[in-house]
Amino acid sequence: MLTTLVALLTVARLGTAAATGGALPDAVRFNRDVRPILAEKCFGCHGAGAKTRETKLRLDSADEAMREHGGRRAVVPGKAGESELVRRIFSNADDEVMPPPKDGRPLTPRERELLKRWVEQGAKWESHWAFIPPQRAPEPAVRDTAWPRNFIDSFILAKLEAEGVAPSPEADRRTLLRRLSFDLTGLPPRPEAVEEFVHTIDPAAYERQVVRLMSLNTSPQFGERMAMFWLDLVRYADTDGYHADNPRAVWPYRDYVVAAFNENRAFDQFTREQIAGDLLPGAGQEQRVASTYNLLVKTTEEGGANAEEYLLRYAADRVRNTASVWLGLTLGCAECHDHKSDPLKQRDFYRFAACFADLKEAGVGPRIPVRFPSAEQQSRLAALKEKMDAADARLDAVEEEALSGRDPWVQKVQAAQHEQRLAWRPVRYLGFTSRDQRDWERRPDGSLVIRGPEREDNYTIEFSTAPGAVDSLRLEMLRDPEVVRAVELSGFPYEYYLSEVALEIIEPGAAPRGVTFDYVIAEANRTGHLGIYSMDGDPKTSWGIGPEFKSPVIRIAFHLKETVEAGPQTRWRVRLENHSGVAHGNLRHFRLSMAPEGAWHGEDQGLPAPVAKVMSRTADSWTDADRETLREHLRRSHPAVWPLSEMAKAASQEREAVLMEVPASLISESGASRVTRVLPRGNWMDQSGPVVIAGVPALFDPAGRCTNRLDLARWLVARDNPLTARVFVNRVWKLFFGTGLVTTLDDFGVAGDSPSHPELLDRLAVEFMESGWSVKQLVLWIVNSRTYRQASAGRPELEARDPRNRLFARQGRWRLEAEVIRDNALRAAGILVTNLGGPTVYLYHPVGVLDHLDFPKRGYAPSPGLSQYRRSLYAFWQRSFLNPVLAVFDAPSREECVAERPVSNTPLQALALLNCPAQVEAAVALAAYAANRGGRSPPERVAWIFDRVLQRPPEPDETTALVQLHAHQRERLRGQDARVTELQNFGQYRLAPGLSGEEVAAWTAVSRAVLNLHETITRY
Amino acid sequence: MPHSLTGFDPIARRAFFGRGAAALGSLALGSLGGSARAEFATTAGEVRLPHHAPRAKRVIFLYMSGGPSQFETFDHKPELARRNGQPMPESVTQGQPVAQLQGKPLNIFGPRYPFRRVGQCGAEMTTLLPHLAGVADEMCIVRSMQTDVINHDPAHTFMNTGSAIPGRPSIGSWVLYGLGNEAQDLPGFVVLLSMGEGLMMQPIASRLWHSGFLPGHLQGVQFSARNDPIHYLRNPPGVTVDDQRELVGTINDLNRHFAARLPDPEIAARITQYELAFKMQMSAPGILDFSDEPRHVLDFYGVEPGERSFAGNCLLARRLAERGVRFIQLYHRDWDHHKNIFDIEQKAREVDRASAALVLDLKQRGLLDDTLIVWGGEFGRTPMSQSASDDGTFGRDHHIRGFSMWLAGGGVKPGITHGATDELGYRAVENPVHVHDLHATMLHLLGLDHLKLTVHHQSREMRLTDVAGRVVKDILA
Repeated sequence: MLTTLVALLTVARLGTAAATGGALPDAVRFNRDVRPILAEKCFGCHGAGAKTRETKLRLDSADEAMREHGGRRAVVPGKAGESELVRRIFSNADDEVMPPPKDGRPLTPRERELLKRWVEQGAKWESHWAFIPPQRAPEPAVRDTAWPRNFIDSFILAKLEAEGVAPSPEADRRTLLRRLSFDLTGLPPRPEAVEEFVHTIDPAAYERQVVRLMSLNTSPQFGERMAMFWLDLVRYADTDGYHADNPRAVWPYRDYVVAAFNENRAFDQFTREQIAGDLLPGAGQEQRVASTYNLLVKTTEEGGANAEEYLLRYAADRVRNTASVWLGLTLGCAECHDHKSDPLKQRDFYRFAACFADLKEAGVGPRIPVRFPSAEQQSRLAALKEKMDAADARLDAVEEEALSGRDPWVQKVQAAQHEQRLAWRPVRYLGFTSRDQRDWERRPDGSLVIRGPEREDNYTIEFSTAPGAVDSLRLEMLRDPEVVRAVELSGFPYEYYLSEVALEIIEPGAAPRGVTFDYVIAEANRTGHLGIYSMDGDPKTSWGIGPEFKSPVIRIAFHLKETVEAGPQTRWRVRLENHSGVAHGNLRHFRLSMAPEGAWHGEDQGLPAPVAKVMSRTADSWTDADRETLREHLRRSHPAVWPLSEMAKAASQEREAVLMEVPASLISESGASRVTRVLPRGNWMDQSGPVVIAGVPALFDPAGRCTNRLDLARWLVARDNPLTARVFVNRVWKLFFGTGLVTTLDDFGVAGDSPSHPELLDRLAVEFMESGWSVKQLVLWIVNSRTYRQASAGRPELEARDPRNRLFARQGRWRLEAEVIRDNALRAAGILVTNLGGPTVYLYHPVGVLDHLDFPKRGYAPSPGLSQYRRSLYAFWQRSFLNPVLAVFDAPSREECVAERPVSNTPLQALALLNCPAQVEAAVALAAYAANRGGRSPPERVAWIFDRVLQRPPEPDETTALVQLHAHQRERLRGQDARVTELQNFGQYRLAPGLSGEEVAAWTAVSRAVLNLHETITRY
Repeated sequence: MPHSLTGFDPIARRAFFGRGAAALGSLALGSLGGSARAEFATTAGEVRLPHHAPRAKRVIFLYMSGGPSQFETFDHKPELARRNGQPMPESVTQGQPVAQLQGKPLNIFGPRYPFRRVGQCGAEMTTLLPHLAGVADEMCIVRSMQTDVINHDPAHTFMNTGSAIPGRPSIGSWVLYGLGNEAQDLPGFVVLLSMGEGLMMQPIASRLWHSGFLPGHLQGVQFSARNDPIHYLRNPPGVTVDDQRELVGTINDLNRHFAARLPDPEIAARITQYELAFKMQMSAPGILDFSDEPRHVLDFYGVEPGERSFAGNCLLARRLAERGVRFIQLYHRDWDHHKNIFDIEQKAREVDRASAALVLDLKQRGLLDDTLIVWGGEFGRTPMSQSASDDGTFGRDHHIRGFSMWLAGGGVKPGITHGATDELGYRAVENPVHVHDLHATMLHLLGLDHLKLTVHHQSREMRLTDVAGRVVKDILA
């Protein structure tokens, strides 16, 4: 490993042609050989950044460098001896030598020689290569004329031949299809497709696979894969970024991007739609959604934020992003001063910013999305609205009656207010049973503490109480700190649910008799978990209290339909059920009590204080506010009001659910342009700078023809724009090789890398533009090339010669991206859901990740059902705390443009693959799949799992190891039903009936092993 | 089947470094630590790390999120008390940024707690921090801090990354980049969060400990307060230690087998990471288990068993420091006292005892000498009052022109107060210390030259201190 690190590190930052060593070129070329040296070591002081230049000498233009300074000229073409530059770089004196030793960036001997030779050869300057529009370079001649399949190969091979390096052979077919499939769709190939491809004799089989994997009809996953790449660039996320980082609606834009790549939208059109979709003639819904791009900036809702300051932050954010996405320029560097290495002025930054000054936006506060319902959605919404209105109208009528003061129920409550309160009678607990045989502890304060496994359970409690009339049963939910702590320490929030409560009375010698309730009053009611749900006879609905409630006691009281006279021998039996789906949601600490007629209402019994206060007065004295207080209460407890209220609520929720499905997005809207000034040192409070009008950097548009956002959009993809096509084709190249032709994907400026194959880059850029900016055509050229099809295996001689694979004498190999790692596991397990588009989904997420977000406090509910198994592309992207499953594999927070994700290899990744619910669930599902379909014998099943995950047969040693793992595991699991169940209930996935849990559990170990292999998460 | 989990590969200790280093400049060599560094440092033209003899080996940054008031803690301004309620002179406030006081009257607001002189050194502190008063002779109070940004979110980003624009590496990542990780089976940069009691919680974001454009393995690892300290540390339910051990062993055997067929250096790294992951599963939970700490130590910090609090995090910080964790950052939230300055009492109660205990405990263990403690928030608070709605309470708004922090240990002069604000506490006028200066000084104490600790990114050599920063020599011991 060390030697490899040596290799990797030795080449770090040796990206420039001049630094790669070797003999000096016969003809020194400025852009290829000289500029990189000047940029890295000289322009810092002798570059374009006027204010920071420490001397008058500039080396970034020929005129300046040859001008006389104090009787000397830095560069005298053809005369190294007279050139001050040459003298100084060869000087031995510390106070003379350049660069100054204090910079810590001395020239290498080769660099010195190169500069000298360049002066000797006439010191010719060239504009920076990337600022000159690309020209169609002719295909170079190659010796091995049989090798090239298309023009890409000619360029690659010509250079390899010049360097005396042989290309690699074609990868084996399994590897090739797996590679192609990951590269084009982000998913592994289906095992059957691999088998067919491996055995076919069709000479065009490869090309057919390419077409299959890129066609809209057969593989819309192509668009998803390309969108993953694009969304990083444009920093697409589901939250607004600053401070509270609240959610916002932008997902229709994501779907637009997927569709654009799938439909092969011309890249120039794709560009114009995103920057200025709202301004295009005849702009439709699709163009408006595309213009969401401009609203992907991070925004704030922080109190005390200054609107003016933040508008400028947003403007700067747009400049950084747009310049980076399309131009590969670090224009953001010019916010405070002229760019240090590129000929970009501070003024250029602000003129670029001014292109977006027409966007209507507020500096601070939430933003309102525009909805785009389909015709079908529109009619559904209309119908639901009608239903909701009707329910509301009925509710209103009943409510008005109840609030009139004539209502018998209300009168009874009021009457109770004036009666002397009778104490709730404690109960004596006689017995406790539960399915899991939980421990029960009777506390001196009359409460019960129940302990047991984290699994939904039902309790049956027998008790007695003092003789007398009984009309109510009360539960006081308590939270003994020790009990709470124990739960939280085991990783769960303290919460509890009552799905059903049933009471029976047992008179001596008689059979138990059910007692019915007629209403319930709960002290706290959460949406979806109202008190009434605990007595509605539907076990699927529950009253429940979540961790956000911290009161020491929360009461819920049930009123008996008929008062019961209890004798001295009377016993009661209450059944408390939890079917909430929250395994840790059983009651843990509570107290039962009963009360006679008349003791029902009043604060002590669970009537909220404000309601009690209103109730204590006569109806004619109620104010509107009182009525509101009462109305809320009636909706939860009044025997006639609550059912209607529930119906109205259900109608409204139904409508909300449809609304959630309706595409809604922030979109660009044009208005009067804000005034843009150059801000001295980027200080927004300094308004002394000159006002500028919109425009693109003067370097590219000296005449100033671009003057607004639409112009900008058009200029970005104009045929003479030197950057956009090059930047894009380079990034696409990187997707398929792991390295760009220019390694600095986000910097095509002077200080960026030089292309390894300049002519190829230009040819690709020109072809791309001439193809009508066809992205699919570009991809086809790349994947159909022989260069692409090479094996990725390292070759010892090549590793030494070209460790960073800049010659492309082999394919790249890399760890899959975060999204692909998860999707791959789900696909292998057969549980991936490949529906396209739609609202964001919420993947599993450890408890507590969003604990430190406020305004408001954040909850997180993983998507239920099939949504949980959607592709990771659709995952909720929280900028401030990205889902750890994605973050740990280097997915970016999408706060800024990311052209290249880092690729790390950490123990935290191992933990995630070993233990996170998505991976474990996939392993369980894969094991079940194998038990169903994978044959009978262990070796057969191992082979079947290998095929699913790696699309290759296992080697004998691999089979042996996994069969052994299975055997050991099976032994350890024998009779361990609890362990088996726990493992299988980790996620939402449930085994099909008929499968042996123990068997699946043993095979789960094998699937986990295979899903964790390095090979599984690597694209070769 | 033989497993390699016992005979541990020495390379594993560097496993947190991963391969990202390859993408970096020569300076990344530092992150290789130990022998690898020695091997690489000889190449001509490369900087040796550390750049000079370090005074501190590690940092514990007690980050008071929300912006504690300097006037109720460390910056004694009697003039404010004398002129309480009078308008702040316009000459002072004109053209200055304000946050929630935009368009509101700017009235002087005197300190709410009496100051007294404490320690041998006679430092000035309020009665709010009785325990810290007891360690005043270890503290270097800086009363002249300045920052650039006035809202929480960008100010946090600035204090932690040297830029208000998201995406730069955090200071902990820079330190790890320069010095590497010495911890055996723990991340080198650990983040601990606590909330305490409060209502005005200002959110924070994980970008504050992100590695930005430095390699991903250098980012801070947030130890979760709920559930497992590290995400996915626990075996899936129903899986025993033995199951997991055999599983990891099998995975690594298969990976080794594959590597023999297809040489790929990444596989070796992957194998190491799985070994380390399993070791972490075994040992990391133990670090949170304080049962090996005597009762008097728990009491000393004010740790309540089973509760994740700032006090518990301070004790945990010491345990992490003992195990070689390089950069430990504690965030304690809710210092944002706009409405009622007296709410600061609650915060002070939550941090005072434990902050002081940490200083003393490290000192007793001989760790204070090479552990740098930094205490403070993203900004301070205004010398002007901010009035709440109608309940007659007053608080203070955000303030960036002058505020206080303190440092201790790690080569900082003990028992001094550095810098001063003007008599109205508005501006740092004597020895101002900008956030960039603080960063430069922290790096300096760790043996790193902030001008040389750079990485090439987007056209230029990026550094923590951007284009500024100056080591505050006066506070170096």
